[in-house]
Amino acid sequence: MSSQKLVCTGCGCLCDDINAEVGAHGLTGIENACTKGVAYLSAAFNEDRRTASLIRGEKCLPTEAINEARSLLAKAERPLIFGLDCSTCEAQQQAINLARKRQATIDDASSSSYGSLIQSILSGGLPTCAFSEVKDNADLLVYWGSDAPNTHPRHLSKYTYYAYTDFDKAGWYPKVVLGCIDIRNSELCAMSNMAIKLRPGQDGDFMRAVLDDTHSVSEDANKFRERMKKSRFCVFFCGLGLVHSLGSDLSPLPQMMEALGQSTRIALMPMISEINLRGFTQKLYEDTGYVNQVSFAGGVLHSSDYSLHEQLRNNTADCVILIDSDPYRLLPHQLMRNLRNTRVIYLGPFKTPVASLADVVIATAIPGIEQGGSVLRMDGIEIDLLSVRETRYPTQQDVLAQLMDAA
Amino acid sequence: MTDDTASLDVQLIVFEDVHLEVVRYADGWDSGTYQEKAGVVQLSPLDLKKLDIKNGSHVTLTTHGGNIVVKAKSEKRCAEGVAWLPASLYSNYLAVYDPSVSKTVMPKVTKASISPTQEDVTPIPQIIPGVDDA
Repeated sequence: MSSQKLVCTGCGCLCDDINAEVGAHGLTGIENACTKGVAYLSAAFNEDRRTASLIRGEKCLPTEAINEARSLLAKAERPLIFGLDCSTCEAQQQAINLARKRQATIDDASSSSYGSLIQSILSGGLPTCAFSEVKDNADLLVYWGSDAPNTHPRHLSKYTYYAYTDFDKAGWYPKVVLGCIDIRNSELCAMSNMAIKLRPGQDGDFMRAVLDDTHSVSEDANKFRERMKKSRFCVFFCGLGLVHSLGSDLSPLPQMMEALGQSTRIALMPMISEINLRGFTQKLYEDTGYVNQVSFAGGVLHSSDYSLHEQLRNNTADCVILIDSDPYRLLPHQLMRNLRNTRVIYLGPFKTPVASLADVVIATAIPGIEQGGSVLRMDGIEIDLLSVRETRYPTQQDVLAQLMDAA
Repeated sequence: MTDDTASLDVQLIVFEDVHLEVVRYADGWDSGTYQEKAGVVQLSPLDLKKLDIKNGSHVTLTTHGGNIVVKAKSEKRCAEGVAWLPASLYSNYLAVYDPSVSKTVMPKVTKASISPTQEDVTPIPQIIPGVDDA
């Protein structure tokens, strides 16, 4: 048995203070991880949760699966590469290279989540900050459309509210105001100093009401505006609730941040769940100028037509390579019916709904446990993952390199 | 699929539940425990009364995406006319993407109707075509 320090790859927090006791038959002890992290790491060390390499449901050697995938890819005229949000930056770069070489389309889960926000952050349209700037510096933390205790259980304790070392005179409460804006009475709302409940889809209207300080009839908007004016440094942690409420029109958000930013510093951080969605979007942005939905067929093209959901809806792609990502967990199932009309190659470590349906499954190593590499945390800071145990599985990067020579 | 005794139109809000994620990792997405935890819709006690059902009764949840049978759970924090469903394979089955109406691929809020039923909770393999016959 050995004690290993590792980075938890259970969610976007990427907690780097995990101690794991690793025995001959798996994980025997774990310290510092949250309930979600313990469950994830236990699954990662449990062979029963792993998928085998498969060709049309039949077990095979990894080399046979790779050869079959290479053959399917060679025949494809409109291939699509999707996923990579739980892959290392090195695998992501390899996938972008493969997409470029094969003149393929490439996309990730940010198309249906934080893509627009991240594009604005990377292009300088929205200010952001690192976690190291938040603790003991920000005096107002607003979780908007996000219930962090359920999505990122250690977010508050490791990086924000409970991580503060500066307390009020009674020595009980951190010197920071915790705010929550949501459509549900979530667990986070119940513990917040300032909880504002909105009606579904009203986030944009609320932002406009905050800006309109002469005619606003919203008591909550007035309260929020006054609290913002008192703040020196406010951070918005934006969840999917906000993103989906604003839909394709994000404009009220930067307008509100710019107006309120006259009197206070405001930063925004998307509450990314995947361990390296930030890495993929940033890498693709640096390579093409876009964070997702890119086609390399005839240069660099960008359109929502190149998203997985539109490609499935229109039956465009004739071969889909899913890399450690399961559309059944990301998209409406109405779209999944069309996945039957295309060839599917799945690379990943775990049994998932799509792994049980794919034409080819290539079982791969788990980043952060069986392979090292780098990832970008939700605040854009690079984190190095370690390899803490030997594995018989190839890395995604190695498999993608072998697919490069598909004719 | 419905018994058609009573029906209630609600706003269905999908939320993240860490306990469900724990079960998914621990037992797998195709396990009975995942199905038991994911197949629960939370409703106001007043709405349970309107439907004339008890806590734990089965209901059919219908959207433009399809319908499923889940358990109804009384939750005081739910407002009348609002239902909470944890993000899972069930909620994705009910989700609707129609770009002519909205560009949002996975809306957090959907219109749904709820009616009592005597049927069993919809098994996960039934909502993923091919898994049961793969």
